[in-house]
Amino acid sequence: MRAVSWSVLLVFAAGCGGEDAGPVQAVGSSGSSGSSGTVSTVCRAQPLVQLAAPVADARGRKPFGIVVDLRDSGGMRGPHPLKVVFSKGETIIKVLGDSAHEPGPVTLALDPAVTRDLETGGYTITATAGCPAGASESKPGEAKAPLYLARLGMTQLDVRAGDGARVDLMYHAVDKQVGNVFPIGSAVASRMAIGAGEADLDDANGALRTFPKPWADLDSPPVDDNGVVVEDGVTFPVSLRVGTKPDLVFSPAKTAQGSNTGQRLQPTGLGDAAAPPVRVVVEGTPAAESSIVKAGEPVTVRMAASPVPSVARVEQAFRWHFEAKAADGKWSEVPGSDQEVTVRLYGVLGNTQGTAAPELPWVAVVDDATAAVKGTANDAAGTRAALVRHIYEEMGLSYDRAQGASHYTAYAGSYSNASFRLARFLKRSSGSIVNCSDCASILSTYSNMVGAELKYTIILSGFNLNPILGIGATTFGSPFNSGRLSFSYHAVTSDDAAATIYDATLAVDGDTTPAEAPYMKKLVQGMSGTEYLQRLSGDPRAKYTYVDQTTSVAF
Amino acid sequence: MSTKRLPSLSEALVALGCLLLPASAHAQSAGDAPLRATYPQLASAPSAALYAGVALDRVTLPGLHLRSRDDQTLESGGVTLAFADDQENVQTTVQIAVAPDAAGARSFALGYLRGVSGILDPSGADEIAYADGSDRTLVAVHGNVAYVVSGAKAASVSAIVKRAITGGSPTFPVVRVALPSSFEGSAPVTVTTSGGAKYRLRATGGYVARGSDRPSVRAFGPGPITVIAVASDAFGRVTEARTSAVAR
Repeated sequence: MRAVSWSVLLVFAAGCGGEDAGPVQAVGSSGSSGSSGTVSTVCRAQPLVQLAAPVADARGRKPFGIVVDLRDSGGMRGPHPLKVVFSKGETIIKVLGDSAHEPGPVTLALDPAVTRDLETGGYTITATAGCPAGASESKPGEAKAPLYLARLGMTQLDVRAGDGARVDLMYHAVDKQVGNVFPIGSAVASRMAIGAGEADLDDANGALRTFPKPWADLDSPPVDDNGVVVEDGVTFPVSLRVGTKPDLVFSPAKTAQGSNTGQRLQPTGLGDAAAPPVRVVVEGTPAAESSIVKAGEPVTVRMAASPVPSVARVEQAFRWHFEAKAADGKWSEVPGSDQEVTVRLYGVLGNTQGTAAPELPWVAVVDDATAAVKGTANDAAGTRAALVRHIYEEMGLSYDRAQGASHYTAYAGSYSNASFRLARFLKRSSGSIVNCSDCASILSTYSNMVGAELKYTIILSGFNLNPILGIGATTFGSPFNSGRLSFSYHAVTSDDAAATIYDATLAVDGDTTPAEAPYMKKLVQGMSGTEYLQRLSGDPRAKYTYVDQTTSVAF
Repeated sequence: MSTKRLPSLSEALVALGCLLLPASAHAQSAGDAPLRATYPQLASAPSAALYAGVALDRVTLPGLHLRSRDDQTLESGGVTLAFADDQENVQTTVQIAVAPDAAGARSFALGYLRGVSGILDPSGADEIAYADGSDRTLVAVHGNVAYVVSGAKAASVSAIVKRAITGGSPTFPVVRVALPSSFEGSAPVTVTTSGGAKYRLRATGGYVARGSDRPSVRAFGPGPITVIAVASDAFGRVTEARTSAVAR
C-alpha cells in the first residue's frame, strides 16, 4: 500500500489584515457544552487546503482528494460555513462543497467527471470559510491552492537488458505461413495502438487506452488484413537472461483528447514550465529523482530485483504510477494515475542454438521449455535435467514400438547431419510417436534455445540392450513390439563429448543389476557416459561414435 | 543456418532467380556400410523405370481423414500426408518422394532407414520394400518413387500408394520468383508456376505478406533478402526456387 502524503500548498487568510486580538472567551454564554462553562464567540476562520498532490490527472482512475482543515483561531465552535470551489482564473468550474462544518478536517473530492474535458494547465482550489451565527466577532478566511491539471500516462513499455541480457526470440511463422519468420529481439515489449490523428492517451471514443494483453499465439505475430505484421497494440514476450534486472523504458504520452474548448488534441501538460515535476514510480522499485517524466521523452527505470531469478516463464505485471513534487520538495502520488501491463517474460540462460533463423530461439519452444523448468533451476545442468523429465514424462510422446523410426528427424547423408523438423513437431504433424533421434533433437533444441548447450552423439553399431523403460512405456523390457532387445543405433545428448549423458528417450534400470529385474526407473539426467552405456547395454559393441554433433533446425 | 546442396545446374538457375530442379541424389556416407549391408536391395543396381509421380488425391485411407499435407523438396523430406482419426489424432503418415530417377528414390529410402533404430525385414510389398513384423512401418521404392508408411496396416496402405503411382516421366513443376533488384522497405513478389502448381513462399531477411492482390516481401532492415518459393503439384513433385535482392 502506498502512502499518500498530503501537500499543503498555499494558504491565504482573508480578512485578517487587522490586529489579531486573539481568542476571546465569553463567560456564561449560552450553548456551552463544556463542563467549564466557557465558550468562545470570537470567530477567526482559517481554512487550510491540502491536496493529495500538486498535480491531478484530468482523467484519473479515481477522484482527486482534497482536505480542507477548517480552523478557527478565535476558538469558536459550531458550524462554520465553508465553500470550496475549483476554478481557472476568475471562472468557477465547480463548487466542490458549500455547507457548514464544525472546525476540523473536511474531506472533499474532485471527481474526474468534472475535469475530464478540461484543458490541461493551472487551476485553483479556493476554500472560503465563514463564521457561525452568533459570533461576537467574525473574520472569515480564505485559502487557495494551485492545482496543475495534466494527463498522465505511458504509451509504450520496453523491457531492455538492464544489468544483464535480453535474448533474441522469433516467431517461426507469419500469417500461418511456417518459415516466414519474424524476429522480435528488438521489438518493443508493449505498445498501444494509436491511430493516425488520434490522441496518445484516449481512443477515438474518448476512452482511456489500456495496454494490450500478452499476445497469445506462440507461432506467429498478429497480422493485418494483408498479412502484414502488426506491432502496435501488441504485447510481445521478452526473454531475459536469468538474474537480469531489466531496464523498463517508458514512452510518456504527448497528447490527450482535446478539451471542451473545441481542440481535437491537447498536450498532456507534462514538462510544461508551469507544471510541477512529475516522475514515474514502478511498483517494487524505489522511486528515483532520475525518473522525471516529460512528454515524448523516454524514461528509464531499472528494476530493483530480477523478475527472472531462475529459468521460468513469468507473467510479469508491471505496475507504475506518477508522483508530483510539491514546492516543499515532497513527492506525492497523483491519485488514479496508475497503469499496468502484463508482459510474459522468459528467464533463460542464454542461447546456444544459433543467432540466425531458423536457429534463433522460437517463442513456441522457449515458452514451453521455461514453463517446464518452472523455476526449479538456474544453471545448465538443472535445466537440462528438467527438460529431460518434461520430454520423457509430460509431452505425451511414445516410442515407436514398431521399429524405432524417426518421425521428425532426418540424417542427410550421414549421422553427422541431423535435421529436426521443429514446426512439424510442434504441431505433432506426424503424431506423438517418436524415436531416439527425435528425442535427442527435441532435448537439444529445447535446451539450446534456453541457453543450456547440448549436442547429440550417436551410439553405434548394432548392440544389445538391457531392459529399458522407453518413453511412453509402463513396464521395463524391449522398446519394440517384437520383443527384440537391441538397437541398430541410438542417439543421446551431451554437453561434454559424451562424458555426461542426457537422454529423454528412455529410463534405465538404476539399481546394481541393470540387466535383471527388479527394475528401478532412473531418468538419464546427467549420467556419466560410462555408467550410461553399462545401464543401457553392457554390450561392448555400443560405442559413442558421432560425438558432439549439432542438430540443425528445419521447419 | 543450414543450406541444402543443389545440383550445379540448379545453382546456375537459382543465381538467375529462375527455376530450380529437384536434386537427383543424396550424399552417401562411408559410415553407411553397415546400413547398406542391412538393406542390400537398396545397394543393388537401380531399375530404369520412371513414373510421373503419385496421384495424391487417390491416397485415401479408410476410416481416416487427411489432417495435413506438407510439401517439401526431396532433400527436405518430400510430401508428408498425415491421416487422423475423428479425434484428430494422427494414426498414419505417408511420406512420398518423387525423384528424377531411381537412384534418388533409393537414396531417400536409405536416408530414412538411417533413422530407424530397429531393423526392418525385406517385404514383397513393392519392388524394393522393407517392413516390420507388426505391419506398422514400411519403406518402399518403386522406380523413381520412394515412400514410407507409418501406421497400422502399412502393407495395405502401400497397396493404395502403389495404385496411385502414375505412369509417365517425372515432369517437375517450373516455378519462377522475381523481385526488384533493390527496394526500400517492401516490394511485390512475382511468382509464376507451370501447370497450375501450388506454391508457398517464405523469405530470409524479411517475411512475405499475403497482400490484397499479390504477395509482397517486407524487409526487416537494410541488407540482402531472399524469397523462396516451393511449388508442388498433384503428383507429389516439388520444386524450389529462390531469388535475392537488396533492401536499402
